[in-house]
Amino acid sequence: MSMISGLSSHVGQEGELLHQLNDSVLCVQAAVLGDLELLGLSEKALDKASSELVTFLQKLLLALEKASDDPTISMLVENIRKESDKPIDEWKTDIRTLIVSLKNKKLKEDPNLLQVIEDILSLLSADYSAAVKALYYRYR
Amino acid sequence: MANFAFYKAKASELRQRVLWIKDSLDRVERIHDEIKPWIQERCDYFEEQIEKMERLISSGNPAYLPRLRIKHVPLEEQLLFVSNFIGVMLREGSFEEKFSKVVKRICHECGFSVRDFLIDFTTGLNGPAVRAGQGRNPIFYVRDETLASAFSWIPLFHEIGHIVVAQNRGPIIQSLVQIVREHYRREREAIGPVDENTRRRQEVALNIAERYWTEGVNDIRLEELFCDCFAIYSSGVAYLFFWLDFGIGFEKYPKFVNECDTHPPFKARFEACWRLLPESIKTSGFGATINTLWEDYVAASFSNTNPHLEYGTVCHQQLIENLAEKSINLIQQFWPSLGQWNESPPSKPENVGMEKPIAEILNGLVALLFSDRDSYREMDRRVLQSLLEE
Repeated sequence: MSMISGLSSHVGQEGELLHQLNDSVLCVQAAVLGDLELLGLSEKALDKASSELVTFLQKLLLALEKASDDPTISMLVENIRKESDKPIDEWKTDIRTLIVSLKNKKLKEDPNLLQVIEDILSLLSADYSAAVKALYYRYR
Repeated sequence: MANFAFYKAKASELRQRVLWIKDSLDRVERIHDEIKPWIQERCDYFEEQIEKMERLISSGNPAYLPRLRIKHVPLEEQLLFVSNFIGVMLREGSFEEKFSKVVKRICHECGFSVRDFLIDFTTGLNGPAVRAGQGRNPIFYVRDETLASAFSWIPLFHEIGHIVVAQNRGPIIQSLVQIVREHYRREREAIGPVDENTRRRQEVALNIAERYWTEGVNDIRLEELFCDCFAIYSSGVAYLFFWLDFGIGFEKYPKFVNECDTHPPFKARFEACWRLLPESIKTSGFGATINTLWEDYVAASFSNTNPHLEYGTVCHQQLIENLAEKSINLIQQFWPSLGQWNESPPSKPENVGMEKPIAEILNGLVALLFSDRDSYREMDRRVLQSLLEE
């Protein structure tokens, strides 16, 4: 595969994941802030978003414990190890707590847990932006 | 709040690009049966996403800013992808001819004429660029988005800077190299009374930083910085907004000194431009908004640094300021007829006539992005129609 097509496919996969996660986070965040109706979101959408986030977080947790086959998740794990000051064990504990809270619909009781997924999205987004830059803006 | 103002402007700009795709789709003569519905479906999706952005903006709750920040970049990427797709289908060999009028006019307004040049859409997919050399006809590489929105013409001023340098590269680069050498000479002298090992370490760091700018082909970084200064000098605050937009979207390490990149770090480029902006614009409403957005962006960005080339040593604020000021002196020396575009964006941009300088038109467009999105769309369409189609 050429560098361009490799990058292009990386950008496509990562962009899709980022977009889905961002929308899911928006849903749970809107529920915590009591804005579901204001933003045109439903309880059904909230259930779907929570379940998608749990699936993603479980995959990530597994990848933090042993290698993952999913290139986007592997890249994210690499970035967590490289860019984050937080120890891996702390990441794992936080992710487990967040999964339990999402499953039990208790996020409202500890909204600070959202910061965990915010940090993950921030890393994913930075990597994605860099890939888009490499694909479309190499001369700038 | 400045961040919401930015995303409101961004949503308008993205909406305008979707409209261009939809309009263009009607003009494509030959298209595969399956492609047209796919592009229509993409446009519906883009509009839905932009609406979501606008709903978040209306909420006015800063807690949703990260959602906006993350939402806009994949949208930009997908829009670029579809625009390139449409561009290829629309291309009938006339794009180059249409766009060369714009390039000629910008060159003319910058005070010099480029009679023969080539415009290449096919290899411009990685963003605008120019290849220029003394005695050679320049080639502009541009991509299809330049036909979708006049907003994407702003970086052309930087590219024209490369043509300007090509005409007098020797003296320009030598003068800038002198500034760098002088800066590091003073820095070496300023090393205080320290032990021999510390002195040696500091001297080595300064030597490496000096070579980053001056050794062999590394002087291209001075040329890039010069071209930024040329662009801000000739196109004004619109260029600074363009950079901010690019940074927020795509530059995760504004302070990273990359030895493999022929461009200096993003922060240094932005700050050179900011330095050259007239005080009246810096302190105006528009300038102050850009400054707030810039500070928020840098504070939120990753602080990754190159351990071998520390940002503060390579891009010391005084050095960047000296290089920016010297660049302006050189522009005034070599192109005395080129006036500085030092005006604030027009107060009623929608009334700017198409006979006005392109810099004024683009500054007006950027101002409208922040104030009135309907007028922005109308003006952008008017600019494309008058400057490309007539």
